[in-house]
Amino acid sequence: MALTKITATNIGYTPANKAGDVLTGALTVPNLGVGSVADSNTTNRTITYQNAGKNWYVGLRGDTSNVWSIADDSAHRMMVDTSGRITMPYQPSWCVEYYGMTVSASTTYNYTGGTVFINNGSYYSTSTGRFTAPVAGYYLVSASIEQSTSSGTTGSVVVNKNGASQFQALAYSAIYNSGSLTGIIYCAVNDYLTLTSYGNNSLSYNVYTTRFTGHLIG
Amino acid sequence: MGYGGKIASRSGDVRRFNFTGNGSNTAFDLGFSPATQNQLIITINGVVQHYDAFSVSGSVVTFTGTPAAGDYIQVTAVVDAVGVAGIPDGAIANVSSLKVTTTPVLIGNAVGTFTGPLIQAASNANSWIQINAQNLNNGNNASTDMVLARSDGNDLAGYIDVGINSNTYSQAAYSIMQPNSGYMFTNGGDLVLGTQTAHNIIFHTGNTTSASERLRISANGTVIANATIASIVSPQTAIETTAVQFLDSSNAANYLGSIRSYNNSGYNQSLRFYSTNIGGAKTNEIKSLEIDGYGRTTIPNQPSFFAYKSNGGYTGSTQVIYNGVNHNVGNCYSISTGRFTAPIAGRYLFSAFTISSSSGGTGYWSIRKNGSAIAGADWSGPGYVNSCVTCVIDLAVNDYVDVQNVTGSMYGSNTSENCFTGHLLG
Repeated sequence: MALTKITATNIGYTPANKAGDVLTGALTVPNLGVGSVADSNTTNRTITYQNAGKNWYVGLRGDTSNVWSIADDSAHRMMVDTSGRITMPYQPSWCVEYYGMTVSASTTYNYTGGTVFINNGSYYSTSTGRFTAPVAGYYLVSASIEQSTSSGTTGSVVVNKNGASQFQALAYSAIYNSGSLTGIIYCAVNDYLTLTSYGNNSLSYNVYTTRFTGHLIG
Repeated sequence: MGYGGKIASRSGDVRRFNFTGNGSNTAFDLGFSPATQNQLIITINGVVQHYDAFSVSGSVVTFTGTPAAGDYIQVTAVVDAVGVAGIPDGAIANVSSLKVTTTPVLIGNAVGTFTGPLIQAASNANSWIQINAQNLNNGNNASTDMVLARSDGNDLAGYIDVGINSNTYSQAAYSIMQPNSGYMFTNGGDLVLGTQTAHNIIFHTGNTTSASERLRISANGTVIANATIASIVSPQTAIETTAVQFLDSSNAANYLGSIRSYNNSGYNQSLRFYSTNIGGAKTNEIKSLEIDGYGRTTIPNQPSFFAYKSNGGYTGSTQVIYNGVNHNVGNCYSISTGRFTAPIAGRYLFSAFTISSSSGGTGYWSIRKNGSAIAGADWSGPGYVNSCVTCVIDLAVNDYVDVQNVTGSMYGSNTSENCFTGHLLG
């Protein structure tokens, strides 16, 4: 454990030493180190946490933006700007859209591939159609389906966790009619989410577009 | 009284005392007390006196005969410092040098328990003992210093300097200091401050009472800044590496929370934030936020719920009571009232999706805040028509959010098609 580079300037009480006095002056902490300090990633005035595999820096960025940052040696992982806005650029997130499917009667259709718009962290696989949770937490998931069959059967879109249905939305039979849902679901590490549709009765139906999106919210 | 004798050669210091006889005085006070008579060589007019020609009691030498008036009496004492019971005040006032080789110079009237010191100042008084140095010059380059040099050092390099500036001190090369500043710094090596045994290092300003403590490095490695802000603690568990711990400003025994890093693959080398209530025990802390080694952030205690209605549909104007939950972090959603009640002011995301009953028709439903509609959806169709509404709502503490079916008939007989969910965004 090492404590480095703390500068105290004119710190004291005014007037001296009475209950309720306000502490004045400045305590400048260029690097309050826990473990040996190896500051990087443009942060300054940080509290540094070091362990054998990773350094963490909690403090202000060094680019004069006055943005609070929680960073490691690779990137700023969480930031709070001077307006109080928090960004977490490494949160797992995905958004994929599927076009032009046909769901056969009394059959479950498994969505794979699709056009991927967002895949932060690459936890969605186009080959399997799975979003695999990298960390345990609560994920906001949204899905929608838009039919392109003018008549026939009610379409559906189902969000599944580890292959088991969690919640679903229906789109009754009318061309361009849609169904949608938004849910929050807890996933343990390596739980996976998929999207399916099924044929309600003996008639197949066409799907114009289906969307599957989600985000780790905490 | 002439006598020629011999005294053994001895190491130690030699002191001489001169007297002049007056024809009547036989006792002469040396001003120090020799340990034994054997330490003394006495000559009168250059003639060494026999051992039996005098005696010693305390500091007084008494001759068996009476020196004549004008006799030149010289007493030579060969002593070890250990054998000297004491030197009176002022006895060495004019000594230009003091050299010892094997025994320490003792200053004071007590002997400490050190082994092999060169100079020792000791006291047994219920007051302070001082070794003073003072530079009386008040110039802008004047200071009083105690400099200790290393084996190859001098007062320019390789030293530690403890000193104090004069009351007008002003030197650009030492502008970090002001007049009257006391200081301690090293040249050519680290400055190490510490306690070799389990004791604290305490910094204070203003005065010397406990209320003026500003920084404490405790014996167990905890660093407490200003007695209020934080303490840096050593790892608490095997997989913890470092932590900053926050304590109650009014009672440092009260743990408030901490930020800890982990060095373990199972923890993805994460940084974690823990919190608890004021005065709460550390064992009751909760993990508020975690950022893992890939930057993925989880907030496991953020209020969140997912509720479903599986105990039957509903028709007409009625509040929807979702009777089951998949998760309910903080228990803010009530399956008896159908309400989510905000435990903390903030911005919340809510979403609900439904399907109409098999009979279809038309209908309308809405998400409400404190009984007033915020966002809603109409539906129309032959049956099982889906509708979904998502909205962000600002809530104060104890504001509540629920779902109201306004018109039409809704399906509500499984856990996946008529659901209500929400989450504190921040």
